Amino acid sequence: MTTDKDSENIEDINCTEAIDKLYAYLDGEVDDADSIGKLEYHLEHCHSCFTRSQVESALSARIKNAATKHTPESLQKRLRDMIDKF
Amino acid sequence: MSDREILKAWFSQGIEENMGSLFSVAFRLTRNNAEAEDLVAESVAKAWAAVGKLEDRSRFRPWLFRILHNCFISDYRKKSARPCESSYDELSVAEGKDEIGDLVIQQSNEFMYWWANPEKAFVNSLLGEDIMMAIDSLPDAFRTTILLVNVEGLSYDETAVVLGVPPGTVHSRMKRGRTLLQKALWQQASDEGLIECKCAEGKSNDD
Repeated sequence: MTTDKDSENIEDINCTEAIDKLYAYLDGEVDDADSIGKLEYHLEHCHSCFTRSQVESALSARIKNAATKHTPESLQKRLRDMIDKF
Repeated sequence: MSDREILKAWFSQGIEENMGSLFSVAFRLTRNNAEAEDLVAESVAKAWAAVGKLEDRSRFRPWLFRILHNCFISDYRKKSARPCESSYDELSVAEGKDEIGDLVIQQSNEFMYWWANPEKAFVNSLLGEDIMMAIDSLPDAFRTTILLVNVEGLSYDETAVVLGVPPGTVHSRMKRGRTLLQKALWQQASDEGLIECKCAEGKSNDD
């Protein structure tokens, strides 16, 4: 049930403002406790924004896995040989 | 052990620890194994030549990425004949249009219908190659920013140093880049029938 206090708090930031801050929040770039509190409250009470935060987190993990490549042995040897000669 | 030998041992360890990251980013920038290897080797040589000027060794990692990025901009992008994409994000920031609302309004209705109600299962249905194809389709500025932040774990401040832009531009590029990336993924998934297009239903209700 949404109380008057809930309505007041959830209106502290609307969905556009929540999404605007979401990327920085998920990247650990929001350090203002008040902003974090308002955003987390909004996410807890807004199904759409909560789902988006879940999608963003899952996508970040998939990007990290997909983009990480194994260094070819030829490059490892090339760099070690090069540094040996420095 | 001489000062030079100590510096060399420290530098060598730093390169060992960051080799994989350098190659991953170089490969996504050049999209070519041989060019990526050359780019990393050239960057490491330049890094060694300039290591004496590195005042804060705790900044070694972003400093390395900055050298790699500069090498790519000055040499490899010209070679690969890929023109510098328009820096519309910087223009938008300069014009004060960096809010998410301004960005999403530029997208198609079909995508926006999905974007407002995304399905988490959508992400799990994507293949790694789908994700990389979508990342590769992004303009350099967005692709590089997403790779440095999401893949290499650099902070926005460190990424700003690497790219030589203000931190606010990194913030803006992350928002825009991630939305553009999701649009590219949504388009791929939609073309492959992986997501049910509810937009037609939504549109008919609107009409």
